[in-house]
Amino acid sequence: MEVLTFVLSLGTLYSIYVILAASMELEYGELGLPNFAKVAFFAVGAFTVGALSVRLCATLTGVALEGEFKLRSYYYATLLSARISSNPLLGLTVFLVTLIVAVPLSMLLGILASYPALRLREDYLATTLIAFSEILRVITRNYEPLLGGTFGAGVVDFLAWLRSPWRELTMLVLCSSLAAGIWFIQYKLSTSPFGRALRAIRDDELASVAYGKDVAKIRAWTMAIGSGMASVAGVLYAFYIGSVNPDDFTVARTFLVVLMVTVGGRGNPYGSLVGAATYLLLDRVMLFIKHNIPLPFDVNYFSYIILGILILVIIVRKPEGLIPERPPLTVKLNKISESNIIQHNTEK
Amino acid sequence: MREPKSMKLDNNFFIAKNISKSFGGLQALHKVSLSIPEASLTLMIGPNGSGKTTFLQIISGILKPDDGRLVFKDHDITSLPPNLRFTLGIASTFQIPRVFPSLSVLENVLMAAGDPTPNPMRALWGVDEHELIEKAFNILKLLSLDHLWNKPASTLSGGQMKLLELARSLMSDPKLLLLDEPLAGVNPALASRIMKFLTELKSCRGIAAFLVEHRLDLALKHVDFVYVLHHGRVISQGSPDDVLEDPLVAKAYLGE
Repeated sequence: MEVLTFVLSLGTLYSIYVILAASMELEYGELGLPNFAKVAFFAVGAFTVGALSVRLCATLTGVALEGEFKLRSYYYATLLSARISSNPLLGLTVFLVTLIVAVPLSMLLGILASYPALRLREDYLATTLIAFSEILRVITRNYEPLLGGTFGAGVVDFLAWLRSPWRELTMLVLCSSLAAGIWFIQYKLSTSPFGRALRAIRDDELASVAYGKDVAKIRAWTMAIGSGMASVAGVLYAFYIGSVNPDDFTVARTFLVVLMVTVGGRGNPYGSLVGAATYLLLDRVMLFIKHNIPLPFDVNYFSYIILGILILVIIVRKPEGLIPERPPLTVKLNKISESNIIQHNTEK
Repeated sequence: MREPKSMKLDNNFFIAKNISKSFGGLQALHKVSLSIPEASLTLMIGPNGSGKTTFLQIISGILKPDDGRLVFKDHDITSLPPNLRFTLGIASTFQIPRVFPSLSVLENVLMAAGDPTPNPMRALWGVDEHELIEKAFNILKLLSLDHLWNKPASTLSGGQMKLLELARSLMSDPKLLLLDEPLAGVNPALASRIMKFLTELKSCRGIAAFLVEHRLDLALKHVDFVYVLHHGRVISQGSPDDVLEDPLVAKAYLGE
């Protein structure tokens, strides 16, 4: 039973990380835009769930919310989850509505965040984006009516109508199918003329402009797509954890995603799958050590050191990542062109 | 629709009027005016630092002039960004080749074609680029780069990168090619092949080219018209023979 729970939760987490890594792969790995505000777009998804799930569910069931949100949200989350347990449709409505609100909101913010990229050099842009994500966190942390500030917000269990382990299994199926879909979108974009334009802008922005590409528009598109993806991960994460706390969304999370993409292989569409798996494997091994092997220090902090060393080693030894980018990625020759080339080469 | 009109007034093809540009206190260009006729080879020469590359970058849109106007086929393009000038038919190459190193040779050429903003929605359905790929291969074949089609551009030699730049700029069927020292660092055999190739483009496809070049021995034989730039001013212009005999030109090149 314990093994099953472990596997189910591992699969769910992996799916969430794959979504984040896929979005970062497009923005950072292919467009070369260091979106160090990744956690902010992840947070937009989670915050939408935190702010809406209890309120929406209460409105739908006619329950009046009383008292301060920060003190009562967990109480109401439990109460309303009980209602969902006899009404699956209510749970699904809550899930879908939060998703439908979060994704466009995040896409819009993504487009806004792509504008500083027009004027700022890569390093300044990265700093600006970090500041942006911290501002979002600090505001939500201190504005209590929205998400309960440091108390966090309770989240209703939209799958309360299922019993364990079916509940967890359904969550896994839901997360992994969304992750598969999003990864597939990333793969298709990455191997299309769109992905080619992204790589060209990353390689040489001036030359891309000189050859007719509208860089501002392509950046805005990419940020919109990437941010929309990250918010899906945020929605899933909030429902998976069962609560939302603004302090959970620090810059450190952004860098875990950067780590996944860098380790996996920037520019390779499969990099996001490999990178997320590598990170999760390391993370679980360290958790295992913490629980089972007595060490004279706290492994939690040790994991940051290990991950830091890992990223250094990768950058020095294998900067292209575990599975490097291999051109040509965006042309698939059909038989006619292929025979053309072969014919020409044999002529030589 | 505008085609017939510009054919009649063949000097309306490309006109630069009173272009001035200064960087800080340095006046790089001073009221430079010139015109490029359709289907012609025009050469601009001048000593180092005379403002040739600056002028070329103003035509391609990378730099904005402080003063003056640019007209291309009856369009005032003075304030158009480079990507829109490219879609109008002005393609340029860089003095030091700027290929996309992590794209393959074929992808580099394809980058110059197709949609200025490839639609990500269409990418999900799959894009049929069959015709573009055929066309790109034909261009690569012309420049003997086709056997390298799947190699990353970063693995090419300097001369091959020059050819790739040329291939890339041809992909969009330009009307006007801007070439910044296309022969620099290229071996003599390849250099004369490039010049012949440009002449062919001119006569077979009606593509005008505007070159900035120091290798006069190779370039002068092929061009129709020459402008000489010195300290940001046009000091001489005319057919290659006229310009070579101009005492001002000798003075500018050889000193007092």
